[in-house]
Amino acid sequence: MSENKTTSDKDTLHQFGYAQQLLRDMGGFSNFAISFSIISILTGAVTLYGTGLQAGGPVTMGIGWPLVTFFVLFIAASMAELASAIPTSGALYHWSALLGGPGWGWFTAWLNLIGLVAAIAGIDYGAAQFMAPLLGMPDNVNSYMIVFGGLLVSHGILNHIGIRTVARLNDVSAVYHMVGVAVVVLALAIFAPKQSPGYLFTRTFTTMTDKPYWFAFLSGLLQAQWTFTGYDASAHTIEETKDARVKAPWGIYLSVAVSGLFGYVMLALVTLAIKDLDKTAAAPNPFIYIFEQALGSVFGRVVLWIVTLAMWFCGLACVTSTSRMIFAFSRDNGMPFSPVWAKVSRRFRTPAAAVWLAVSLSFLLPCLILGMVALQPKALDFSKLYPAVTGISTVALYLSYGLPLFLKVRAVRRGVWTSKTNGPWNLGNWSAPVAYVSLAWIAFITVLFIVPPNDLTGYIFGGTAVLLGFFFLVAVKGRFKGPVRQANSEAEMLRLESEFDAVTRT
Amino acid sequence: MNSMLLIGSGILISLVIATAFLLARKAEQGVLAFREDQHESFTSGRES
Repeated sequence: MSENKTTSDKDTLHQFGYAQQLLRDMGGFSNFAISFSIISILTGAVTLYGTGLQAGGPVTMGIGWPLVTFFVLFIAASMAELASAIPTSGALYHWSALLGGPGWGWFTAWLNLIGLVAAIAGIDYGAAQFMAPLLGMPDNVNSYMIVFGGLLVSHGILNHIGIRTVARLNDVSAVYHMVGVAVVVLALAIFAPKQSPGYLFTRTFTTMTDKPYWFAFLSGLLQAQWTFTGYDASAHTIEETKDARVKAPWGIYLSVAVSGLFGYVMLALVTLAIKDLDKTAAAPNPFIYIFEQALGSVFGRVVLWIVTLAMWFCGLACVTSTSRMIFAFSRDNGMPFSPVWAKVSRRFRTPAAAVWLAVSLSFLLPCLILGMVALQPKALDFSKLYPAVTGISTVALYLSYGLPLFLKVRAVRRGVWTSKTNGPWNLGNWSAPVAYVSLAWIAFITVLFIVPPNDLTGYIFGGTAVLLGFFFLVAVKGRFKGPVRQANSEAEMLRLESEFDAVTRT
Repeated sequence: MNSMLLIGSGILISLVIATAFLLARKAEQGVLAFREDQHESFTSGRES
């Protein structure tokens, strides 16, 4: 049975012109686990808990989280449909290129890459900030950078040596996240004093005194929206997933749905345990402060370790996803020095060079920001740059999610995409309305997260977009051809695959 | 105001749960109804 499915997966990949170079060894749970690990409710919801609380108070958790979950379910469903129809590792990039042409594909790829690199940097730097003091290191930027580098190297090594190891670790990560949330929730439910449930839905609060409350509340949605990123990982690892056209779309959709549920229960319990809202909002890490106040400093430290390990799992999965994206884009000559990044390790059947490029770019981003702060110490505040990096990651990723959805809607209207083109995982006649809702939400959050008080995100993202546009016009337009077939005949495709199969068997 | 917020929140949470369930059910129907012999891979939709 599984042999049939593997053969069918391979045949589907051949139809898109690619050979089965990566090892197809992931089951449905592993595919779900990688996206669930990147969404990582214990990472996003915790590191930006203060941002959300300061912006809109408990209502951000009580109403903001389900509001964002609602719209992200639509986006995940639309993305899942495309993954089912075009099951290749390039995913968003490949969908855009096929639906709109090479230029659309190129922009989608770079937005996706920028978003993923910023996500790795945000996750692992955030983990380093937590981990350095826990390891007894001084609480300063130098320590953070050393730990940050160490975390990235560990992710690089594990991703280099194989998808089997990473997939098993992601399976562990998914269970770990659920158990971690359960521990947090049960401890608070049993031992912590609690506010009444109405506190979650009616207690407004903001430190943004120069803006109307409704706007402050909307700004606080960054917490939930950043958490709900990275679920495209199920699509990026689709060439490594068995029964890919069904399992990977479910991975995308269920990772969002399950994260929405677990995240909400956790945030609700944590927020109901707040004793003093003003002091909590002013704390360096409000999430940990709540635990220390409610359950004592020892349990606060335990939670800190739980969260830090979750971040490590999250970073690991994010490097996997980013490397597959780089590999797929380079396979089609979309990156500078593409032949280098498109190489697959014959021994491990992983895109090893792309793994180390993802790790290196993620390390360079905070270095670049630190350099900017050193040059302009009065104009730039490093503490404001963390939310800015998460904002860039969110906007870039969601724009890369939105472009292929827009192009698909356009293709349907033009009759280029018909119901026959749908993959097995499809929403039938609900597809178009779901896509419209998705696009409207993406447009809304893109504007929301680049206008003041998120103007720093706007400036950095705007500058990057101008640079990308310039680079495209000067060096890419007319030269980049989009997806390139690796072989033109089935025999050639099988020969390519046999080279990898022979090495894997030995 | 508070009671309106409470009612609104209840509606929102119900809506999220119902949406999650309905979208999943619709997709499951799509998977069950899928016919390989009537499927065409989208390999050529480019305009440029």
